[in-house]
Amino acid sequence: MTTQLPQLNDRDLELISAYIDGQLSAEERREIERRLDNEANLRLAYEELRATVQALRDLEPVRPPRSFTLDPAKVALQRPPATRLGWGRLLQVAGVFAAVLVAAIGTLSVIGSLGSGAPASAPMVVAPTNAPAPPLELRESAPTPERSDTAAAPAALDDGSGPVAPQAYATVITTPEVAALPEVAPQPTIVTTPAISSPGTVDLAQPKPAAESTPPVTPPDLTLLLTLAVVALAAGGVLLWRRRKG
Amino acid sequence: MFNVGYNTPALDHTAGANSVANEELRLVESAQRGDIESFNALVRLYEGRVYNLCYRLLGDADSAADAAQDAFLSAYRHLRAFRGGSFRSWVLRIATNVCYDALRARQRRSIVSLDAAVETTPEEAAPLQLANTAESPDEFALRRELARAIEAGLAQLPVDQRLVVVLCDLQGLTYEEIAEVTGANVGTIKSRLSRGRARLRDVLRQGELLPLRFRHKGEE
Repeated sequence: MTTQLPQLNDRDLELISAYIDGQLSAEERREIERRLDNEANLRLAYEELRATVQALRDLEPVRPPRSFTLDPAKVALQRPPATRLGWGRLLQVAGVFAAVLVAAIGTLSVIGSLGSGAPASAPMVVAPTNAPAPPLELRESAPTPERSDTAAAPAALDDGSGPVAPQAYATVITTPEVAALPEVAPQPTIVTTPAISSPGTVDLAQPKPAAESTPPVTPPDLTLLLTLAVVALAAGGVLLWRRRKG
Repeated sequence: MFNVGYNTPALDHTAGANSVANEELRLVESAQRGDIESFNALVRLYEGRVYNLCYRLLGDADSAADAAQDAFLSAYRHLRAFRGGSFRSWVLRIATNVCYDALRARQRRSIVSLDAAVETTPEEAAPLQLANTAESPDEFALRRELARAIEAGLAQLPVDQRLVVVLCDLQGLTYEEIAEVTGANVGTIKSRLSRGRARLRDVLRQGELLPLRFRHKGEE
């Protein structure tokens, strides 16, 4: 007579495996012990698995061929773990901070130039309203209020050429106040913008020719400086890292 | 529980467990401050376990020695990342990762199959010796055959099952400790362990290496 090999489902296999390790809850243990008493196949599977586990546990450990202790002389060449936060790591961190700073300043300056009615936005708005001159000329010829064309610009705006134009005017009118803030774009903008955008105001009637001849004063380019600093920091970090690895 | 029996702290004995844990903690703290001798004391404590884990996962002595050395070097370099808990589990986890890397590299290079390595090296790497004078030549031969079959069976297991079987049945870790080493949850470990053991049982059954009383009439 031939008995069949016990084939268990995964759940029962898992249960008897955990039972061998004593990893069942009290309720699961009682249940599996009840079944082991009643089910011959389960009992046979349990005995086989237990014998397998015992054979594994009896397997002799392998003796290491050598010791794996570290050589103090070799390890001394490296920095000990407690002092591993060296200049290279500091330079890397500083480089990341500088890069974030550059990105933030760049973003702010772009947003600032768009939002404060910088010269770039004025021509975009004025052009569709049949302004008398192209943007570049407008900047320079705006101080001549006696032109009849200048009256046409507000008229065109009143005709309803779009809600954008009045907004632009409002923006431009407030530009001198905004321009007082340090983040605003360069000074040439400050001088010319009121002349462009306020044809109906007193400023338009009283142009300031002196402003036209004033050469623009360029502030130090902070972005360029910071970019150079990032490059220097990154190069320093790489050099230190390579020197340590080498 | 099963104790591997080489340079391992007697953690099973409650009385000595605290002093061993305290000593281990002192060594770790000292090593974190850069004391290489303290780290080497930890290496001596666990090098047997680490080497055996690598050997069972990789299947040959040379690769296992390289992996064990790499694991301890990596442990030293990343000692600051150790935030307490079981140093044994931490270092075994590092060794496991090193072995996984070695297995992946081996798979890419296709130098030699794990089966071939296991077939050729166990006798050289781990020569079995008569356990005691009372062991008869027949018993010695059977034990040797059983060890070969188990090693061959382990090599056939998927690596995740092999790892769990080695950690549980050869290294004597609890399910919770295995979870720490592998990063898997206890349910997954139970499942992998039962399937790995079942495969090994099949190997032993085929080789008629299970005790006679468990054999079926059709197999005899």
